[in-house]
Amino acid sequence: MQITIEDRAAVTVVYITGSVDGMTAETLLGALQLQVDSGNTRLVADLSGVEYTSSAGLRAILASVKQARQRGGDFRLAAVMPPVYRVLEMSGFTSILKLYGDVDAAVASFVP
Amino acid sequence: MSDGAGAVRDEIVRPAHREHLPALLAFVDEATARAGVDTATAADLRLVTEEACLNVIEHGYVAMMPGPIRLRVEHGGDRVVVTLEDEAAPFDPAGVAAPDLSASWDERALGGLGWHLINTLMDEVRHERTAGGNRLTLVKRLAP
Repeated sequence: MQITIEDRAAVTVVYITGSVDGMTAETLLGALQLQVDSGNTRLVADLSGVEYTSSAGLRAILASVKQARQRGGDFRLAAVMPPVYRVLEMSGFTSILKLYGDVDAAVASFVP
Repeated sequence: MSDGAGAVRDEIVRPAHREHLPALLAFVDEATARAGVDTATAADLRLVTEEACLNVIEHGYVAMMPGPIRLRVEHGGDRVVVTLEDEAAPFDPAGVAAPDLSASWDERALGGLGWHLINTLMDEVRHERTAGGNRLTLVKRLAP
């Protein structure tokens, strides 16, 4: 799994490629935590390069959403692929997270 | 599982360490590919295998020296059966808290999702206590 960070003024975009699973989820969580701890609480994840996630990935996503929202921001998902969307839906995450078709839409959603 | 014509049977044993997870999952991928299982079902089987293995690694052996995970994949006609055996502490399925799917984001607990995914994706989930550990049997029926 690879992570690339892009700062877009008030929103930080995290590009993720590969599988988010029991081997890689902790790395993702650490990277997101670092952003939140640095004050970047408006986060967007580009998941167009992720075809697989397990519950480890779900936990990393939920923990990051909680951390960001508790500090007045949010962690929103963009371009979620069907296999990942299915797992999110099965776990009841699609009703508590904000999902967008692409990164630009997710970034724009932070503008009041 | 009784042998039918063309039944494929495979088994792998690895220590219950996270570093062996790729080998265990690669084994399932290869077994399902060899058995000609469709891509979507193969992905589901890989996912539940990861969830089940991680449960053994993170919970089963948590208070003891990690022992083995014995993973078996059997394909016979209309179903694929994944069996996991360990030598860990007794697992009590009734003790796993079901995730509250209607809870708000701040009330959602982080745990219990793996077991929930296993039960949602598989057609049959059976747990038995064996002489020295646990046996988890996961059955996925295949489309005709």
